[in-house]
Amino acid sequence: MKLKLLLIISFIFFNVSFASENINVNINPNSKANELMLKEENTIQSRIDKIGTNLLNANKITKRVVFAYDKEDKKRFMNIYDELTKRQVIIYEDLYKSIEDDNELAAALAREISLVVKSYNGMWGGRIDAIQVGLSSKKFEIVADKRAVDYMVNAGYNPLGLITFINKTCPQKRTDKIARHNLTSKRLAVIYEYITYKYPQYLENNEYENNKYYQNFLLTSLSNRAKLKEKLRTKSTKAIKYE
Amino acid sequence: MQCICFADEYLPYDYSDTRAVAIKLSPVRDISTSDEIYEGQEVDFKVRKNVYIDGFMFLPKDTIIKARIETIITKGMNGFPAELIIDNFKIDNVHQTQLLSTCIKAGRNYALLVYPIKWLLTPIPFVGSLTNLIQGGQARLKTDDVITIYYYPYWK
Repeated sequence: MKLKLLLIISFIFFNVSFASENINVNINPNSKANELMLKEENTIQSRIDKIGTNLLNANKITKRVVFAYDKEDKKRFMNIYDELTKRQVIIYEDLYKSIEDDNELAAALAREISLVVKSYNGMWGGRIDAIQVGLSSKKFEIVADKRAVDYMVNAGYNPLGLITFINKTCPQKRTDKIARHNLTSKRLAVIYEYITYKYPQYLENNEYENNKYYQNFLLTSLSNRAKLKEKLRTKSTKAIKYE
Repeated sequence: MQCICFADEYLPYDYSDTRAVAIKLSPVRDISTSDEIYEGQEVDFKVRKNVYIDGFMFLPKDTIIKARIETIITKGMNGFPAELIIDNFKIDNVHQTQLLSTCIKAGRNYALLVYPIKWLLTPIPFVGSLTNLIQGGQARLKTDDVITIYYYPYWK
């Protein structure tokens, strides 16, 4: 009886050990690939955390904000973002692929941080404001862009990175009359005007002069920039109707 | 056991100290989103009462402090209020990194009125959408309004 029991135990033990060895042999290449992927994701996450925290600290944002990197962009219900509900800024892989330098990553993060900050203020602990931001995304798109410029400048990033980032990542629709989002050309023009008035030093000593994406923005914004030039010439304070 | 902390860079700020001095301010002139104001415009505030640090006078009453209109959010449909964000207060011998000073002033928010009416009227075609036309209030900082900014003298 004892012998039988011993045989059964040894059989199970060896089988399991063989099995585990077999599994090890089989999944080894996969686990290495997984490890590499995790390492790569860790590097990206660290970069996002570092730049995001730079923005928070330099702007003395006293509210909690966390940052995450995700592979897949999930469909959002009624445009109520994670930024507004969880106070979490998520950078998706699709977006990250277009980011070239730290200024552009700071631009992507700063926009979302401004939404998170907004969700902390207002009625019912910011709940009402968060809903309004979600529903009035068109209006807040412009506000988020402007706040992003401020955050970037305060943290030592070049706000022209926001222009190149949006120029590369946001498609141009036909119209924004009955739409939830502004025309990208309009957003870019508003950002350019904002920088012109508040932070002209970045245009005077333009580090992006030889950046092909920035030059592409200059090329595609000729008419809008002409309107701004006219506004500056006449010293008008009226809002320009950008196209 | 010794703890080894890794600092990858020298930080230009240090927020460890919690001692703060409250500075109460009022605008010298009314500031309203209904007026012709612009982002980047400098506005004047005056100190409401003497400010002391460790028994010494730091800011006498009525000292003028310049600030900047950072962002203007215009009022919008569905009761969305206008908003004024003022920051960049300039006080002599005080570094910007030592101030917690973002001042946000919003107008009246009619969301709690607009959304219930909208949803109640939604069964009647197009009528619910009429509530879109209700706009929020203008943001206004009057000369008798008081805002408080905080100076952290022991921050870098």
